[in-house]
Amino acid sequence: MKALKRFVPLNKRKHDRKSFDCGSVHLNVFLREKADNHYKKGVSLTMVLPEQSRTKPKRICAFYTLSHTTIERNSLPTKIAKTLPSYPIPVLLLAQLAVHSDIQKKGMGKVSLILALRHCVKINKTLNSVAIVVDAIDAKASSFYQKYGFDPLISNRLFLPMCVAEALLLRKT
Amino acid sequence: MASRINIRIDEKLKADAEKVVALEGMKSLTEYIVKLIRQDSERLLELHSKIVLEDNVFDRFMKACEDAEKPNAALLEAAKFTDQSRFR
Repeated sequence: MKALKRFVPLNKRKHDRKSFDCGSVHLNVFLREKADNHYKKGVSLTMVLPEQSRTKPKRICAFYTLSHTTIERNSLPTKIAKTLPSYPIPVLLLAQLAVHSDIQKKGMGKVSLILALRHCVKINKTLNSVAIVVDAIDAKASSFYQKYGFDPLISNRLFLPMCVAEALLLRKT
Repeated sequence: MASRINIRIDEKLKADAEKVVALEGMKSLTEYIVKLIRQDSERLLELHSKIVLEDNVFDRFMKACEDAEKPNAALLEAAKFTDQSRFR
C-alpha cells in the first residue's frame, strides 16, 4: 500500500471506506458510517490520504477529521486573559486521526499530524481559533500527541496553542 | 416550513406512545415526537458544540496559550520529515 502525497476531502464514490482498518473499531466505524454524514450535516470535515493506485474507489491510507468548537469556563472569569476576546473561546478540534494498519510504523502518523496542523493554520486565517484540541482515543494516542508538544486539557483531550502550529508553518527548513 | 419524516416503530412502542399522548392531553403522536426531538436535540447539540472546563483548568489553558513556546524538537523533526517525503 503506497500513499499519494496529498490529503483530499472524503468522497464516498472515490474512496473505499470499507477496507480501512487502523486497528481501532471506533475509528473504522467512524470513517465507514459517520464521516460522510457529519460532513453533509455541517458537523465536521474528514480529509483522507488515498492510495496510489489505478483502482476505483481508492483505498484510504490515513484520515483526519476537523471541526470547530468552543471552550468555556464553568463560571464567570476573573481578571485573567485580558488580551483575549469575550467568552466562549473558539478552538479547532482534531477529532480523529488514524493510519491504515498496513502502513503504520513508517512515519505516517506524524506526517498526518503535520498536514492536519497545516490545515488548521489555513482555516485559522479566516476562522480565528486560540488552540487546536485533539481527542486521544487511548493512552498510546495521548502519548503520541504529548511527544509533539500537546498538553493535557481534560479527560482524553489535549491541546496545542494555535501560535505554535503557526510558528511551525512559518519555519524554514 | 414543516417537512415530513417517515418512522418505522415497534407496535407496542407506538401503542405506549399513543397512551402517553392521551394521558398528557396532547393533540397527536406528531406533537409528542416533535416535543421529544426538540428537547433532546437541544441538549445533544449543546453537548457537542462546546467544551466546558473547570475554572482552574480553563485558566491554565488560557495562560498556556498566552505563554506558548516554539514547536518542540519532535514537532520540528516531524515537519522536516513531512517535507522531505514530499507530502503537501
